[in-house]
Amino acid sequence: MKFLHTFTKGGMLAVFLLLLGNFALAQRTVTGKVTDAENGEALIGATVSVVGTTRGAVTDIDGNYSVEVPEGSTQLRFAYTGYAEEVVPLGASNSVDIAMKPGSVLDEVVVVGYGTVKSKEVTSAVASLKPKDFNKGNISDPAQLLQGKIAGVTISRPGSDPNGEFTIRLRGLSSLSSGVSPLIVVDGIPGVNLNLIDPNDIESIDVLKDGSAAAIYGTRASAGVVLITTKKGSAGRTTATYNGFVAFDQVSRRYKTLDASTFVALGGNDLSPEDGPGDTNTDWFDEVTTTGKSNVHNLSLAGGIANGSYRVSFNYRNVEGILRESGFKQYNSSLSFTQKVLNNRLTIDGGLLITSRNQTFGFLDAFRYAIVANPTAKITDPGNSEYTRYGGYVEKDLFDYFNPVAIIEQNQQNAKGNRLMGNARATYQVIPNLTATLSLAQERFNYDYGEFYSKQSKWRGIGRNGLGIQGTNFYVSNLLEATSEYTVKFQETSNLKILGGYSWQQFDYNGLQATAGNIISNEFANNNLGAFLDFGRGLGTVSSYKGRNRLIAFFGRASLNINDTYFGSLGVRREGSSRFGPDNRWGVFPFVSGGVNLEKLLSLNNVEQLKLRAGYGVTGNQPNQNSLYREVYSQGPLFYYNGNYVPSFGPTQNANPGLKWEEKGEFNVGLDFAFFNYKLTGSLDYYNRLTKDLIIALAVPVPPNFAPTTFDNVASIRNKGFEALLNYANLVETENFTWSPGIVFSKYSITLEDFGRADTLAIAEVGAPGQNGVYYTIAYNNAPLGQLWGPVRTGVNDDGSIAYEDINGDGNLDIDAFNLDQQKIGNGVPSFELGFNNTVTLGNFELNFFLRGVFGHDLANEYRVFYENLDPTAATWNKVDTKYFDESATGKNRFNSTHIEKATFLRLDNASLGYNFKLPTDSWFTNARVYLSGQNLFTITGYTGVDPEPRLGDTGASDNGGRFSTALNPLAPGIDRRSTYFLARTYSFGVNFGF
Amino acid sequence: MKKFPILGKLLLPALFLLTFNNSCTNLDEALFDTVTSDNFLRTEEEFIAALGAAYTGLYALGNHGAYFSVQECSSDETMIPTRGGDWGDGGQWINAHSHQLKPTDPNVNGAWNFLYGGVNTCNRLIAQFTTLKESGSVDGALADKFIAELRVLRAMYYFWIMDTFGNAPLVTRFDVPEGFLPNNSPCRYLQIRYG
Repeated sequence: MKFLHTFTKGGMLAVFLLLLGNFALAQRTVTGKVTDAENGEALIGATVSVVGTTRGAVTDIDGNYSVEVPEGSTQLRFAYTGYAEEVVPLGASNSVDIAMKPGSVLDEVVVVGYGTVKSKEVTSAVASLKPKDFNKGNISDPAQLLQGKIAGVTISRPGSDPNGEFTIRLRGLSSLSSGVSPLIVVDGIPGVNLNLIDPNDIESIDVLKDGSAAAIYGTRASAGVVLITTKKGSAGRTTATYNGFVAFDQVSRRYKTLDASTFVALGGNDLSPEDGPGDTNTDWFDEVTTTGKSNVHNLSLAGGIANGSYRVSFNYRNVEGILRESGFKQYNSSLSFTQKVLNNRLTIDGGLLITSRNQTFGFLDAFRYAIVANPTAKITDPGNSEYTRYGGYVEKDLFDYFNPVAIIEQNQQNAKGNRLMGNARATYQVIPNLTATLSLAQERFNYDYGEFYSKQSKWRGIGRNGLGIQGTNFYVSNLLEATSEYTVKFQETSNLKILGGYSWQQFDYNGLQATAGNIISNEFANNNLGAFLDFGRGLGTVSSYKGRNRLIAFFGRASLNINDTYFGSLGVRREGSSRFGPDNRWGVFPFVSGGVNLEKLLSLNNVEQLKLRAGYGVTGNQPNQNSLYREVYSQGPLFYYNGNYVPSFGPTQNANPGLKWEEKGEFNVGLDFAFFNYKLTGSLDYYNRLTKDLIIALAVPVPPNFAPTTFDNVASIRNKGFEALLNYANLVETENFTWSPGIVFSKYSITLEDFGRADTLAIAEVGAPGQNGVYYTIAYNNAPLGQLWGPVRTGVNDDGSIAYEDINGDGNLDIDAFNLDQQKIGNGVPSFELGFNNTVTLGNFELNFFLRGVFGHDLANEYRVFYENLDPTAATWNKVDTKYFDESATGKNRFNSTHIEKATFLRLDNASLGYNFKLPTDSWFTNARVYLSGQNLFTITGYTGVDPEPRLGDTGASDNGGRFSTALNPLAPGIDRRSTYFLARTYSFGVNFGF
Repeated sequence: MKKFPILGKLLLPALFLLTFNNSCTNLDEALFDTVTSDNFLRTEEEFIAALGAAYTGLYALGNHGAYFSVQECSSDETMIPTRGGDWGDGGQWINAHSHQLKPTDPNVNGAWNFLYGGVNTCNRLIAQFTTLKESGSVDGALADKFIAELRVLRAMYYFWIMDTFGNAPLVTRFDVPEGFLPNNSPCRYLQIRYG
């Protein structure tokens, strides 16, 4: 894998230096070989430069270099990503071989906003990950590469839906708006969608965690900034690589439900009475799930051209999940290039990323109805005329009861998305210490989405005589950024960098959606909506939208490095958004941070680094939609006027010209350290952040207001936390064997200081069947976020009813009032998270395994909330037979304390065993590797539900063909709704070749 | 290569910026699919669309979980039996049936919001049409016709309010001061109800 590191900026720099060379002076040629000090392998693409000159070279495939050294030069500098930089004095010999030691993290380049710094210069909380640190296995989403790897970054996707989005939360919660996620910056382009990047093309991922680091990105940085650097070509040699794997997904966890004979014995209806009791025993869960097969291929070519370099890459992914019909096919191409012109003073680089993804979603609801479907029912019964209208599928006219196989087989839900980003950047060296950069980028996305429900489908179809939905959405963002950086070096190791910049970004979006029922023929599906009878009858609906918003910013930063000992950074971003009224468009987001390398001041043994740093920064967040500050008239339903149906219009929100930026102020203090010749490295961080002026929709009285809703900056949240990162390189080391462990730890608390109301609000309705008006949680000012709230179950009465505690002791049981006989019964927010990474090498074998645990959170297990007690609904719905199942409980199902389960878990998230072939020197291949990997191999938990992963937000309730919300409510964490895709275990087998 | 003066080199990137100069700090919001009070209520079609908001509220009359549920589930016309946990819904249907409604039952709040939402829409539109009529931007006869319709509609909402909640506040104007809280009036209630 070493050669992957050849795609580094170091290589490009070397070319740059080489080309700048002036050949007039007397010189000699020095040659040599660069190897890894530990295993003697050649380092390909290492940078060799002549100190004090602009001369340089890059090592070739065998680690050899040749460099022209002018007369008077006395030192050579060797650099390679992931290795300690070495400066070697030149003697009389024209041959210098060097063995470089890995492990020195201090000289690694860390990407920060609008630039890079060396790791030792970092003064704020920045986490940096390279491909060797990434999660292994069948990973299609770059977010998953990081899951559990960065302290303070929670990445969660309960279940294993291949089309599911990961929720990324940095250090708790930073906004109450839905869909708040970190700003993604790809190769310097902010606001890019993560799905543009194939995981195979990522060179490094850096996460700006604290306010002082993120504030250079100002307004979209409150939830953190994820900087992705893609792989680039480098001069010196052309490389081609192939990566490919096949993967298999199997169901990892499921609920045990009652079999047919037990179901009938406990009061269930026998839907196949013509058979003997229990003869028809349908395992519905088995019928809706399958072994998901995936195959993934990546081919890339990278190399140098005269005064430049390029890389092209093509990725194909065909991924299937465990739910039938769920999966996607994705084609991704990327191209990047760098070219120097104008006597090397102008560098032009750019790229093109194209991702095309065809998704089939299946129906998550099939899981839910597979759990509760009657096991005595057949899947189809074509001979029975009762089911003819359902196309032969066995359906019953019962509330919230559907044949899960019919849901999947009769209907479809799919999407096609094409995403493209092109960017170009010109960097001009105005004078030796001053560069000016102009960057242009455009991202385009079009997304077609469709659903079709058959005329015979009880699920959403039969009531409309067939239903079709087709929508198309278009998005484009245009970016212009100009920056300039001036560097003053006032000693060999001291410098001052001053950055100034301007950013302009505009987002345009529009779309069209049509929905209609009454299909002439199922054959049209959702592809010919005009043929649907609903349009002729005035029942079909068509809607369209168009919008635009713009962000403009000016920013500046001064960074100071004194003798590699004291570091400081100070700056501000002034940013404006078109989403605010004229008086409040501009916000100012300052930041300051500083650090001191204590090891330079103290004389300590075995201490390579001991850096104390602290910072404070303000970041902002704009509303997630346009025009919230205006009084807006919105369209309501049609009404009949003078023989026509006319759309009605009324005010839906009041004007609030004072609406302004949400602001987060964050203080962070941290310690970075490296001990024992860089063997033990790590960092500790503590932060305290207050996010204020959070925008929420306030309910206001009418009159005097026109509309019952005003958006205002009222809420505030405080997050505090502690994070630790610890790595020990080669903790155990023998001739053939090494073991390098690493630990990631994070702990945080979230307090809702003010949520804009003085009263207590019950939120997250449990829902149907039978639990409308029943809530999972409450919110009030100064409450810790994530309290689950309800009555306390004490046992089962003799008559089978459920006994509850009289909490307020007034002699009356009023379990439905949150202020009477209810109390806090659980906590949905984890107390801490832990990742434990291990790399073991044994000869040519490499084993990597990663354990991830989340501790101290509870989950409300919703399947148990609805389908546990043997009340009269046991005739209709099957029951979940967990360790809590109690045949004597025949009282009504109602959310209570026993449904709250401890969801602490420790999971072997991924493990990968690879074998690197030792190749003969004349081999066509530069490397060859085979590997086996497994994801989610085991989970240790007491939780009996689908997935003990914390639920960061709530999808809300849904029943009888309704839809779960895709916007998660962040005020109600800890609810395992019946919307979770079940969990899979994945096995992959893959190969990597380099040519 | 001939060297440009440094000043010229500085100007080059600056030129890029200048080309964007006129829009370089422009954050005016462009509206495409939205109407606001600035550009709405100017034509007869828009007046009719605005009037519609008073009528379309009535779609919710028969909705489960609000006015209908409070009125009918407490009578002998509709019954929602609770079967085990199914239709338990926090006890609200039993409360309605046994005439022991609680202020926290969702139907009560739903009914109140439905009814006063209707009254408020009528009051708002009466005030808006009166203003438009006075300013001459709407045909007086048309405005009078709309206002008359709205008064009838408002009376109907108040009839339902009285029937549902008894002595509830009567508000017939929209230009109330900030913080306005209406009072109910026992005399007026008895007068309306019993003549």
